[in-house]
Amino acid sequence: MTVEIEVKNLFFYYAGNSTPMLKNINFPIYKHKVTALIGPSGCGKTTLLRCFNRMHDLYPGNRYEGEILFRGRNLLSPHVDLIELRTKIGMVFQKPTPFPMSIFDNVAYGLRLRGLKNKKELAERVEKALREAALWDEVKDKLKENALSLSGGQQQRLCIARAIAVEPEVLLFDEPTSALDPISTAKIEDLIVQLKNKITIVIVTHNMQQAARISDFTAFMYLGELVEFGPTEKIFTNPDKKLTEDYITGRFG
Amino acid sequence: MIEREIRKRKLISKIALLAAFFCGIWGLFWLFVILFDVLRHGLSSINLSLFLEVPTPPGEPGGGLKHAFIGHLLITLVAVTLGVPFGILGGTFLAEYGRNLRFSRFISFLADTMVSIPAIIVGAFVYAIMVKPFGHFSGWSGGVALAIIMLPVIIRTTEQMLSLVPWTLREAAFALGAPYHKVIWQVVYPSVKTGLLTGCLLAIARISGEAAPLLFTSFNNNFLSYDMNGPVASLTVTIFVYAMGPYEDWHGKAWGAALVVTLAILLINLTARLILKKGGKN
Amino acid sequence: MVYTNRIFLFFTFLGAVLIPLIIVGILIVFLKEASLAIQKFGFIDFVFSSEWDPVFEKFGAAIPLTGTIIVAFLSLILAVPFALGIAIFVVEVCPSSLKQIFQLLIELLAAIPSIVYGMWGLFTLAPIMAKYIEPLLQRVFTPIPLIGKLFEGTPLGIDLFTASIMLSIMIIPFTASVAIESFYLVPRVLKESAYGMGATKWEVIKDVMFPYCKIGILGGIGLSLGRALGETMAVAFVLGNINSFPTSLFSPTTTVTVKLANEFTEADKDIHLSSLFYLALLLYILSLIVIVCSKYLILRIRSR
Repeated sequence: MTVEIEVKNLFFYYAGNSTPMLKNINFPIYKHKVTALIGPSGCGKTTLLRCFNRMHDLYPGNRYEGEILFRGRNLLSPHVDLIELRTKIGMVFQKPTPFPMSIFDNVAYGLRLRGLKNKKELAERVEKALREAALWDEVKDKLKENALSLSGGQQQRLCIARAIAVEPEVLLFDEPTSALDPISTAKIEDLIVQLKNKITIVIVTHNMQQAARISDFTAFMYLGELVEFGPTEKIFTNPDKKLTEDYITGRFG
Repeated sequence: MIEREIRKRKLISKIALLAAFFCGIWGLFWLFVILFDVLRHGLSSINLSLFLEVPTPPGEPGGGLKHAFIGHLLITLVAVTLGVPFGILGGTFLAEYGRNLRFSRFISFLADTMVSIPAIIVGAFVYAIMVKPFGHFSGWSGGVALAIIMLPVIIRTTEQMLSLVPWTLREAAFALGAPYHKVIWQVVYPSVKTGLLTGCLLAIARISGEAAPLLFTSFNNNFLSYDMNGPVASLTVTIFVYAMGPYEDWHGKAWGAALVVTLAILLINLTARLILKKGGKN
Repeated sequence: MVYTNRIFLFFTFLGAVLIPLIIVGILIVFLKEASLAIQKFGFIDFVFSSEWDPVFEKFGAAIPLTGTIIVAFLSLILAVPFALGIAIFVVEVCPSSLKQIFQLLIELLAAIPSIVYGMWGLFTLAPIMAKYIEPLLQRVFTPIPLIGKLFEGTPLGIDLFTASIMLSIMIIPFTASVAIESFYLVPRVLKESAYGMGATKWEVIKDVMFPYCKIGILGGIGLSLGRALGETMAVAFVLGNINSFPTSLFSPTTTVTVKLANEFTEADKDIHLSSLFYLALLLYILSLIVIVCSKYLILRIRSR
């Protein structure tokens, strides 16, 4: 098992705050595995997720301390090219966010950004991504239609297709099924388990059962700190810390 | 290879945003150029006599625009007396009594449209209904024309302000047994009075600079006249006549009047926004 | 006591119902006043006739209508790119502490009364146009075959070009403020999705924000158009009110509003006045259509 990302002594401060939102986070993300970040609301799991693709940089004043090593290089360094980083580390959001364009153009977006113009190759890669996202059969006849005509679950799978079309190394999921119905949720969970063979996955979820179902490793966070990290089975059946046990058994959160 | 691509895209982005910045400069540039110009030309004409003296015969230097200042004030007074009450009343209907009617949404949309109707159309309209039948220009018709322009502006701002008042406030008054009109007068109006004032101020600022609707209603008068049944001078029409006229002296006075009008409008605008901000803080 | 509420209700209703009454009233009154001209000239003949002869009582709307439309569109072409650029600047480039001030300043551009614009145009802009800018443009462009024709004629400064430039500055705020409002309505997550894919700021603006705000921006442009169609005083100072088709950018011409402003009080023949009302009627209907459509588009994007 290789370490894809290593979080080292990470602190994070939102703009204008002297108290850190994330305190001294240390843990690894293993390659081609699903790592779940769980914890009660406000524990910092989404904040942590957004550090991996430097989303916080969009809003002035946010501050990182510590390192996040991706393949040995610190991705928090100011010398890192954000555009290149986001090519390698993609993100799927809580609410489906189809761009105001056709289904085809949505999936092709990242490819076109990178200069891919060859129509044949674009079509092939779009089809490949849609197949991997388990959406191809449902949309293959209406690729030119506006993406907003799809249902919520389909839109989210479209966003996943869009993210994987550029073949990232890592994919970040921020509570991807919290806005969806149970059937769509199940489809996407299956999808994630399939994807991990080729892509390293980090998923934030407030649904513990989901974490137990699909993740290989789990990080439990509370009030900005990493309480415990380990194989999912261990965390859910035999955690080391009492706090973890209390959360898992539903005593709070 | 991919690095060059990324560098190129980043460069394009920087250039595009720089272009946007220059568009901002373009806008600011003209604002300051025009204001500076009005200041430059108008300042030299601003003296006490501009406000206190009546015009001399055409061609003779000296004199002032007292007639236009007073006339303009009178016309504005008529406009405000007509426009503000009906505007606030109309906005009250849309936000209160009629708030659940589709008819109200329709009226609201129409009012919003009416805000943008060319001013000269309003002038021609009032000409047809007030000037032509009576056979002469009048200060009253000028006031009516400006009132018509003010009306939709005040209706819309009133409606918006009243809608901001939480419904629970009204319920508390109803629960105490107050009839609707009292609820409005004693509870709703007081809680938005700064907002209503702001709306009226902005409407006044808007009509203070209008000339087109006055061209064929109050027309123009070279003499000081308090008779609203006849043509009355206004600052804006005077500016038009003097600026297009052949005399240097007239041009100078036109600039002076333009400076006064512009400053008044800017002041009213800024005051209105300041009041709104302060009122909002409370 | 019960009556007070009813009476108050009645008056508020009256205030509200004045709006449709006036809008329809204008239409009816104009139709009545223009009826003489409508009967004499009909519709097609009036709209397409370029005559305007008070002596021989022959009137036609072709020249003022053409002037109105050309001036409006020229100023739109000059205004919209800058307005959109300003909107992008305020929403995406400007530091947050300056955003409100900047927006206020742009709105002040719209608050300056049109006569002041007109005076500035007549006494400052037109002479500069006549002395420096127009001759320069003439020297640069007349050698070029087709485009050169646009720049022929004596550059006196009182012409289509000056009027359009001035009008374009006046109408920038209308498109800009609607565009800014529309840009602010773009959901954060949508923009973050695009950034998350490695898009640059400009790419996010062009691929996500603009398509999302298309409708609103169109509405904003429509409002600018409506303003341009109906502008009187500013244009009256620098257009010349010459009843002839413009042959180049440097020709003086006239618009419906300028004609109305100049001739209304001097028309002593009934047919002359009626023709002017006919022009006003046409302008009114045109403005209403443009404004109603624009407001509707803006309503659509606000309700999203």
